[in-house]
Amino acid sequence: MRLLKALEDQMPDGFRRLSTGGDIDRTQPISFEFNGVRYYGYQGDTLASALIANGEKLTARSFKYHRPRGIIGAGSEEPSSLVELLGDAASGNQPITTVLLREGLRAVSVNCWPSPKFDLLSVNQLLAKFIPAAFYYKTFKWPNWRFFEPYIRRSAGQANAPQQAPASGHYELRNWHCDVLIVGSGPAGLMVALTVARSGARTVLVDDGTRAGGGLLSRKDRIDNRPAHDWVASVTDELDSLSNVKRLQESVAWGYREQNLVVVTERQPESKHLIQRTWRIRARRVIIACGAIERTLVFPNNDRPGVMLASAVQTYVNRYAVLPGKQAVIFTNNDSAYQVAADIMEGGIEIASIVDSRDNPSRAVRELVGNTHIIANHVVARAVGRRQVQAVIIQSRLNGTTRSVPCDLLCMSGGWNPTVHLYSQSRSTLRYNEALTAFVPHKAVQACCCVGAAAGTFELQKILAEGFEIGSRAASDCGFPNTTTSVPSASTEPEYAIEALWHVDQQESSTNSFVDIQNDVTLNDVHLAIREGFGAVEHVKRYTTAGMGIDQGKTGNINIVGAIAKQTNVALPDIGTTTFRSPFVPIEFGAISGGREKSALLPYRHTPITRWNKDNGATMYESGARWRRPGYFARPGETFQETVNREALATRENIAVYDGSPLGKFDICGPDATCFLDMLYTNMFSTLKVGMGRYGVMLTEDGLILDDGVTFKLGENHYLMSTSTANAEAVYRHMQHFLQVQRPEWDVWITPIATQWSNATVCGPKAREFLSQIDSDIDFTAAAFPFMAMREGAVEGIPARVCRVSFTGELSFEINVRSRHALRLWERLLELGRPFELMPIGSEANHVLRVEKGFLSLGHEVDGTVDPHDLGMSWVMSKKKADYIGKRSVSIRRRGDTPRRELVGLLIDDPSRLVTEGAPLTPGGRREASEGFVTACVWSVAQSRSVALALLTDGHNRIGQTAHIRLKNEIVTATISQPCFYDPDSERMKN
Amino acid sequence: MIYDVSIEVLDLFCVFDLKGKRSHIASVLASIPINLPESSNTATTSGDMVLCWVGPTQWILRASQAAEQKLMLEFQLNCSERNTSVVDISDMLQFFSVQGRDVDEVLAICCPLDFHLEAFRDDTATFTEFLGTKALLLRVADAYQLAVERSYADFINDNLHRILGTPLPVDHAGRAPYELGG
Repeated sequence: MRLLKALEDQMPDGFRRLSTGGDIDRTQPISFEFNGVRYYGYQGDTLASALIANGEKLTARSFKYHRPRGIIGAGSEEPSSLVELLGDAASGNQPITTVLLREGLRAVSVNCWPSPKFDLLSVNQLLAKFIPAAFYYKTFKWPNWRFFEPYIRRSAGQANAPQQAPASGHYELRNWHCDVLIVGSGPAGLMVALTVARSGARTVLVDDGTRAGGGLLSRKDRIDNRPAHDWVASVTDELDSLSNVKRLQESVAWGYREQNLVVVTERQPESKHLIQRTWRIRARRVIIACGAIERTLVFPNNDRPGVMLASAVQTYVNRYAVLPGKQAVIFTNNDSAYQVAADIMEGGIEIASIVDSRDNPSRAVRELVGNTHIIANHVVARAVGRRQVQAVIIQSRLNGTTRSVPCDLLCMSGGWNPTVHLYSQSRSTLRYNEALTAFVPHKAVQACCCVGAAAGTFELQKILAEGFEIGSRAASDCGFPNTTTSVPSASTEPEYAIEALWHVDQQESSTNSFVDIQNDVTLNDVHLAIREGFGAVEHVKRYTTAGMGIDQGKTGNINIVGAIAKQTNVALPDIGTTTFRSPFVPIEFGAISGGREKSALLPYRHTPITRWNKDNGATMYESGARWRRPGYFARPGETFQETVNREALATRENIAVYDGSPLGKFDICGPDATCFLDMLYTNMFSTLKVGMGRYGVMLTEDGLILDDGVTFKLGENHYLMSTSTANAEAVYRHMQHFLQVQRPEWDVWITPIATQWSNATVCGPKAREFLSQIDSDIDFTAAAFPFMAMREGAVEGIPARVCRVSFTGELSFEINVRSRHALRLWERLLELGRPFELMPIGSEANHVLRVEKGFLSLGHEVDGTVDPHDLGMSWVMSKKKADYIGKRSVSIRRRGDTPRRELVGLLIDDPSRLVTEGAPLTPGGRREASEGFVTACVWSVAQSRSVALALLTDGHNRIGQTAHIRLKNEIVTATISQPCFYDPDSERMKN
Repeated sequence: MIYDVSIEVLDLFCVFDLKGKRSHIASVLASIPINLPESSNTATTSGDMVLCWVGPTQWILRASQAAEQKLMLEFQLNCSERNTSVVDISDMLQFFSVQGRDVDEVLAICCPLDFHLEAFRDDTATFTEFLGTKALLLRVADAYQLAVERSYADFINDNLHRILGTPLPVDHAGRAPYELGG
């Protein structure tokens, strides 16, 4: 007690903590820092409640005008005060009401400098008239937007992003399944959960509070003749004892996806290794029991410190035992504020007046507040005070007379909006309820429904009955009829009644009636948007940014809809709402990605040779379809270009080997396999002989090149297809789509076998000589092993399929073995190849060699816009086949006379010059629409100069002319040539 | 360790991918002592053989590596008409065994399947998305076994150890799997 007294003595004047009551632990004091000042609170406090207890009213500055602001709400609906957390738990833009107090917490207000109490940018208030909504669409034009852009970018945003990752822990993403998912553990959610759980159905109950209970935690209701808190405790105890129930507290359901997938982030998982855990829960039934959010009232200066939501004040008094003020005025248009008045009076706040916009509040609510002064048919015309509300000017709705009522706290209640965000995200529809003056759930599109206040039911007894009914139905729908639950009795309360008050009518234009407090959007801004032609609710939102803040306009959006309705004379149902989007509250990026970070971010793939590559100095990087391949094998002292040149020269003049394992490979067989290949490729495959292969090109339905590769015939109606590495998946989908959709009657079986076979490709003029000397039963002579043939046998005792294909333009043998033998083969070849100076090469050298030959490559010359004619490959388009995929589209395209981009070679005038891939070609090098681009540019070891390939409009007719490559700071000229710079007749390759 | 789960990288199996109409596959398997599963996405076992029905016209047969030659011969004899596809994919798949008290939770992190006993039974066998790749998942005794395309094996091993909070496996040069790629 002495410690507490000492702590209390240190607290500033204005200490407002009640000595008893509340859901806080007074035996556990906590020290924290806010804007550099040390304060004290208790275990169970939020940052907001602790600051209120310390008498702090001014906690923020507004987004645009830098107006003094305080705390308005008590939960995630908070529109006013955002904080940045410092230190280990660094995080930006947290609503002050959702930050749980912990020892050592350090927080600062955002959007002010140096502090909210003294903010240099408050000068913006003087400019308010000149910077209404959307002013930036009409300004920052002269001399050039780019002049202003850096300054605007610097001033944008609120809090800073954390500079470092958390010191320890990681995020986790987990999938889960259940019969019934209940979102919200207020009275409705608990009733549903109890009913469902007792039936035996798999039940998941999630709630974003630190404790179950929802609105019951802020009020003094009674259930079954005992405090509601006791009922909550008994229900949660029972739920926790059941093995078919998973209960997640401090977990927010923030997204509703297709097929009843709800995304929930658990902020305090039990494991100390985890920062947060996100659950992707697939439920057969989803019950949304998220309650309702109180809305603000719109009047001049409704944003001043000391103006708060009535229910928030009730929460601070009842749940946190703090008094946000000493003398309050309550401004309301509905009955719920009267219970608030009763509670806060009991807590010790004096009520100066209840200002009710309605002309005759019911007797039942009057009885709740005893002799409290009720002023009906009046509104608050203005809040008085700047850094703190000091009085309100109230005005009669009958005759307009006004008077001042002193106060230091204004509790406003504009009614209640069912929290339909998740429901709407499920694409279910809403309807406007005139009696509630709110949008409520209408037609569900997925297997979900709302219950309790989320459905527009506000009386506790009705909520409990509804919870039981919906829980029973949900359990029964899942095959679990329930007979063991009954509906408890609840304390009676007046039925909820409300009369719409979208805003207080203003005699003159006011820039201070805020409809969206977080984004500083006023009633005037809404009217301005309508005047300027942006009267649809989605346009008003975007034009003014109303509802686009972190709070998503939870407390004010309906007021905007009402304001539009009033101004345009259109009924609210016809105005509608804006689209509710996830996340419901801000979610950390880490929680969305889960454990996908660093090396686990994206899948990566290795071959059996990968480790050997790394051990032998290869520079590795991803080169298509997540494969990590060696780019080159640098030797000490070599530059990159020298390494690539060495490897390319070795291939051209001697012998080299590379790991070709990642190539896409498919086993294709079946009675219709041959006609399938004839349909798939542009050229003929039905004439292929067993043991031979053929190069083929595949088109999409719209006649553009999809892929190319060599397919070998293994036997009657049995083929081995190879595709490009990066496109293997796309080709597989293409083939399956064709078979399943267009030819379901065909019997063709496709089995991916990319990693069943690994290959070491030996290439170079000495390849045959080398292989003839190794231990093999395969005859490698030219006569026995012609180009495009495949032979099966053994190589160094390993069963192998050897194919004579070439990607480099040299004599080449692909030795395919089962992957279990790949490393053994590779090492053996290199050992045997030492006398030949057999050299391992990487993808960089391969790239040079194929460019020299003019061989096409996916992603370079094949970019999804070309057909074989464009690449000079008309020879591959069969004239004999009646049909194949893409044939008709090519024909239709070729009927027009629009010039097309065609593959050409480029010899840059400066032979030592290289240009980047993608460099545009423009007419005369002028700043005009490009007529093509460079697809590849390399140093040619065969030509000892640079060579390039390009796609150029009408290129085939421009051989010998000059092309202009337009770079950022210069024009480079080149002579257009044939797209082959080496062995144009392929004699070396076919050998 | 965050979860009470152990991971074991299993040795090579003999695995065949069988495709065709059910009656044809039955003929192919006539001389092999294992029954065709009756329900989709289930497996039958016989000795150390497992036969998984994983698609309308697709089965995966797994046996010990020692049985490879014998099975290849049987298939060659039984597949004369080429109206079925029997492809050796022994080297395609890397199998892992995952077991422990928290195995359901760990698998729930890796893939979107429902591992409740009513959904994933003792004889369930299915392909699924697994940590961004495709995996075959089945129950064998009190463990789960999963098979991924061999090229992804290092990535899967890397991920599983991250999830468990155990040290990443390293090679002879002290490198974790992801370090090989860059």
